[in-house]
Amino acid sequence: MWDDLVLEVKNLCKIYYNQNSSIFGKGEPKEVLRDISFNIKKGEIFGLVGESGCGKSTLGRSIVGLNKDIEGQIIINGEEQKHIKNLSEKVQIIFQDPSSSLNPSKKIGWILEEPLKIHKIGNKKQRILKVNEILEIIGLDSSYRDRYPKELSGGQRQRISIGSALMLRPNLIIADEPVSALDVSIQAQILNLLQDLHEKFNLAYLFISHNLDVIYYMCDRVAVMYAGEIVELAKVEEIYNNPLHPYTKALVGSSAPLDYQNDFLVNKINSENTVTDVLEEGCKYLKKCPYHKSICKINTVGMKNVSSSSEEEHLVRCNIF
Amino acid sequence: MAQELLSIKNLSIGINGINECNDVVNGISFGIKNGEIMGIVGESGCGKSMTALSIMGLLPKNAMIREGSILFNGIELNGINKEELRKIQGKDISIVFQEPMTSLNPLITIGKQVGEVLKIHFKFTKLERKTMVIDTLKKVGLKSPEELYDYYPHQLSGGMRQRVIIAMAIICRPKLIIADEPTTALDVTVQDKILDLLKEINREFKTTILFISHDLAVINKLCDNVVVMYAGDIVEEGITRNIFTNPVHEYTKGLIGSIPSKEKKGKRLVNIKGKVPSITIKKIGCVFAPRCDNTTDQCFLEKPQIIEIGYRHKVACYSTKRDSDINNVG
Amino acid sequence: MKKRNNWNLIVGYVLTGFIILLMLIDVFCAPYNPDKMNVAERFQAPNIRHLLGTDNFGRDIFSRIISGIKTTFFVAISTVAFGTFFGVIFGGIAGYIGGWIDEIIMRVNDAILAFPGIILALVIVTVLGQGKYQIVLALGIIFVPSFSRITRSEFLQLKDQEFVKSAKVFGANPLRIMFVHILPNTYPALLSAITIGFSNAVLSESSLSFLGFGVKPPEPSLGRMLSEAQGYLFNAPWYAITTGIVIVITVLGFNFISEGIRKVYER
Repeated sequence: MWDDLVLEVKNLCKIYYNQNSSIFGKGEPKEVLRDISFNIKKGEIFGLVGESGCGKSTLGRSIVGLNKDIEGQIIINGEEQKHIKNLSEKVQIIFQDPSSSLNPSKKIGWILEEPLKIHKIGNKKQRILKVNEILEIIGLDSSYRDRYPKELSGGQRQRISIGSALMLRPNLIIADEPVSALDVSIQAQILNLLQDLHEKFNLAYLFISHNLDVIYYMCDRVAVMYAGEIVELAKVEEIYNNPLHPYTKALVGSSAPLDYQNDFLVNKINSENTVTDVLEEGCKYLKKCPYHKSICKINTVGMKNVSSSSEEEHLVRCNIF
Repeated sequence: MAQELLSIKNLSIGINGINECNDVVNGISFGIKNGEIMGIVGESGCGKSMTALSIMGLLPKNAMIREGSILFNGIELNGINKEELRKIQGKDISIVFQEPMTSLNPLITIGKQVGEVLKIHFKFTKLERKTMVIDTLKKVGLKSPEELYDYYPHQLSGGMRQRVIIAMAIICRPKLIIADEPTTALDVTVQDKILDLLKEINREFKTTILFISHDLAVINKLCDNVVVMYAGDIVEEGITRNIFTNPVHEYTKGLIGSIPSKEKKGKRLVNIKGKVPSITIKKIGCVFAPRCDNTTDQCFLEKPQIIEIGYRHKVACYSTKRDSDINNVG
Repeated sequence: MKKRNNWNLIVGYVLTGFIILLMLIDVFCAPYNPDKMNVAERFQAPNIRHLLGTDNFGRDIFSRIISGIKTTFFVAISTVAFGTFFGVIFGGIAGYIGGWIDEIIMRVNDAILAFPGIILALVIVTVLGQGKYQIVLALGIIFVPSFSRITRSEFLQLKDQEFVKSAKVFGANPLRIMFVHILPNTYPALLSAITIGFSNAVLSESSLSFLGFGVKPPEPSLGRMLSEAQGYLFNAPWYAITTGIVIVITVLGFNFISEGIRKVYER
């Protein structure tokens, strides 16, 4: 049962110290991630949704090894992340901004070959074959090897990012807002491509986005993040049709789907989403929650499963339930 | 019978490249009636921002209006002299840009900046100005406006800054507000509130709004009417609900089909083949023809005219004429 | 709108090209041995046999100048090479790794920069003795801080870019990331600095030689020639003028090229 999980995250925490001008001593602590726990099954597309500052990018980067100072456990394919020697062959990442995710001074062929070179895989001929293979899979031809990133459009660059992530054949890919910087019609192409690759290679994705519609379309299950915590986790249909946490309700209400005719009851809130500055007790959504009770001020809430079905979980972090 | 507040006819805007001048907007025409909220939707490079900037006389140095007329409230804005334009800017037409970070001067307090617009156009005393500023800040939904009056931009969040900019835009009670992607840089929940605010302003002050965006969902939520642009041309226009439930132009269909949504889960999204043509390529015939699945020879020879196919629903496409011809026969 | 030519580059190429041409003449067909003295012919004004006249020892000024250019170029190139090599290494490490290593490297940099360059060079040359190689070392050390700073600032900007993060996730080690992934992106900034460095090196070498601390006589050096020419300003003004003009052309040439390069990457 446990070895069909490609990722397990247990009680992940990260505190970021605000650098002040002194080189000695740490600055003010900011809790960027708190008590993050979730799993991703092999071949599953798991969504992570939240607004700016909620910590979803930090979470994605921690899983891929870009953030070292973390507490808690990250287990990939059954092994603890810090003990894995070749992390890059197990999990890869695709970034949001196609204009800065490719090295501007290198040709596309070089960029794609680089992961293989670093791990000393094959000789030059074999590597070029692999590069051509990947180019075809992502929908481009071998002539792209000699071009520079600035000669490509945003969509093409994003394809190259995806291609380079595939070179080491990982079974989990962190997709950090992979389509947010692209035009609508190009978004569709990239989403289609990600779907195709998912089917072809049985890839698992941690799909990070602020756009609930994209998440709904792509993902099986989704976790909603707010101020560094997961506040709700369930199948995507559950979240959309039956949002429980007040923040999820606000999010679903404002996503304005194309076909909505009626006015949702949206919580009108006046201040904006910010990460808490200090390690606080109590619920982080307190200031904006229309349903809060007095225990919400002091109780640090844990995740509860409120699902009626035994098969699927619906986890919520809220004192109401 | 609502009057047309803004009437654009045959507007062409060119950009001066190294060797030549290329059109980013190719002779478009449309009109906005008093009190309407009109949207221009299109992807990057379609010319929607340039159109908006040309109305306000804010085109960048290397761009210019090659031909056409921009009639605002009976006044021709193309070629208007600077003095006359300045009287209109901020007072009768105002603009809200995308980046709340860079639209405000970081060294001047909020109160002074919003008051500046009043100072330029009207003669009020300092106290009168301050009262009006605080009143407007309250109207745009900012809490404790008396305190905020002395704050600097960096002390506010993105959403709050955008509200301040909207305050600057409405304080002179303009007839027209041009909003160029005002919510793109904001979080989804904040975006929602800004859209509600704009709706409220339109309702209370009857201000006409021209809203530019690439986000169809946002256009759908806010705008009464919409114009769809592609590569410098208008391909379709009409009442928002009609356009979204019954798109006629192949590009509009493709655009709507590309958007992921509940119903499409499990299915492939529409892929519009090919890519947007560069502005340096001379276009003969319909701009979209090379990417369209439903073409005839005529599409490649002559640019289709915009024709009315329903109540306020216009399309530039030969296939609709073909369909309606077929329907008219017999 | 017509295509605008990069006048800086053009003028720079012309000037520098002229100087290099002179240097080549020296390599292939110098009219006279620059050290050959001929007292009978001293202080001749420019004439057909001696294009730029002769100096106080009867040596052909033209031959001395073009030989001096060779020395100057050698010193300039070596100095800039030394400065760039160590500057890039230290600046790259400081910018990429940060922390206390960055602090130490930058404070050492500041210490070197705190001294007026010429004074520091004089001190080093006094300790090490006169000569071509000693000058290269002295000037080289003085040039390291500016290259180091430029490299560091470029690295600081680039290290947070996503392609660098990608490289980390691909498993590249820090050394590879610094010098294979990041460094090539700093070439435009470095190129501009290198060309300015050339012209500064030429000036510095000339200044040192002028003060008498440069290359050992009788090896020709434009700076020392200028110093000698000072004494004969009224008998043989062409001596000082021609030498001075050559120095000016060289320095200007490199400066224009550097401006031209800057303009290319500005767009």
